[in-house]
Amino acid sequence: MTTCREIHDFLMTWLDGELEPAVNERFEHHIAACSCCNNYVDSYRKTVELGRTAFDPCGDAASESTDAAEVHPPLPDELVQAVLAARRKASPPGDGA
Amino acid sequence: MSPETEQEPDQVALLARLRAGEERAYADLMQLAGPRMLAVARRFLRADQDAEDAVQDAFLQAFKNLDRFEGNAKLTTWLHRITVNASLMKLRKQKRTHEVNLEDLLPRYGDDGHRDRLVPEWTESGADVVSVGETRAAVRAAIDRLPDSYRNVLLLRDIEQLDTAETAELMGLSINATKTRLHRARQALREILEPHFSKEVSA
Repeated sequence: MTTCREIHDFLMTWLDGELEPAVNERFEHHIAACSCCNNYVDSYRKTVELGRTAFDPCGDAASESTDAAEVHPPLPDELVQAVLAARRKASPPGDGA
Repeated sequence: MSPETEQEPDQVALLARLRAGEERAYADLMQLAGPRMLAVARRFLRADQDAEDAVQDAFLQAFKNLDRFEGNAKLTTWLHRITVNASLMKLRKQKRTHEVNLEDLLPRYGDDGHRDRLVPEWTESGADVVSVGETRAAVRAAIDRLPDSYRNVLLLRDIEQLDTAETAELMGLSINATKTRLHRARQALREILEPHFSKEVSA
C-alpha cells in the first residue's frame, strides 16, 4: 500500500522521473484515486512555478522583455567608482600585468 | 572552431578589450553585467549595502581571474556564478537572529501515513484575487521565512537555475542531501503559501 506521506516524500523524485517503474505505477495509481494527493501534487507544482517567477521584475513591459539587463536599474555610480578604484589599487597600470 | 564562437559578439569583443587591459572595458563590463548581478545578490542578502559589497567582491574576483575564464560559457553566465558565490560567502558571515525550525513548516501526518487534514485545491496562482505584483511579493516573503540552509538551495535551484551538482558544490552538500533539501524547502514553501491560494479561503 502506498500512503499519502510516501507520495509527498517522494514527489520530487517522481516529478523528476527518477522512480523505479513499479513504484512509479503505484504512485500514479494512488494519485489518480486520492483527491488529497492530487491537490498536493498540483499545489506543489504551482509552488515551484510561483517561486520561479517571484523575483521577476513586475509590470507587463518587464515580463515581455527577454533581456533581464534591460529591466534592472543601473548600478549606483558610487559602486562603479568604488570597484574601479579598488581594481586600480589592486593592479596599478604598468605593474607588468 | 573556437569555443568563443558560442559567445554573443559584443561579449567576445568586450572580453578581448578586458584581456588587453583597456581601462574603459572594466566600466563597460560593469554596465553590461552589473544590474543583473546586483539583482542576484539582493535575492540572497537582505540589506542593500551587503548586496552591493557582494557585487564589488564579485567584480574584483572576476577582474583578477579573467585569464582563467575559458570562454566555454557566456561571460555573463560566468559572472552570475561568481556573484552567487560571493553572496553566499557574505551570507555565511552573518547570523540570522531568529530562524524557524523547518520541521514546523512541513506537512503533518497521522499514524496511518495520511495527512492530518484535507489538502485544499488551489486557485490559479491567485491571479484572480490579487495583482501579479502582490502575489510575487507574498511569495518572496514566504521564501524569506525559510531557514537559510533551505532558502539558499531553493534560490540556487529554482530561481538561479543552477543544476543539482553546482548547487551541491556551492552548499558543500552531497547530491542526495541537496535534492532532499530542495524538496523540503518546496514543501515548506507550499505550506506557507496554502492560506493565500487555497480555494476554500479565497472563495
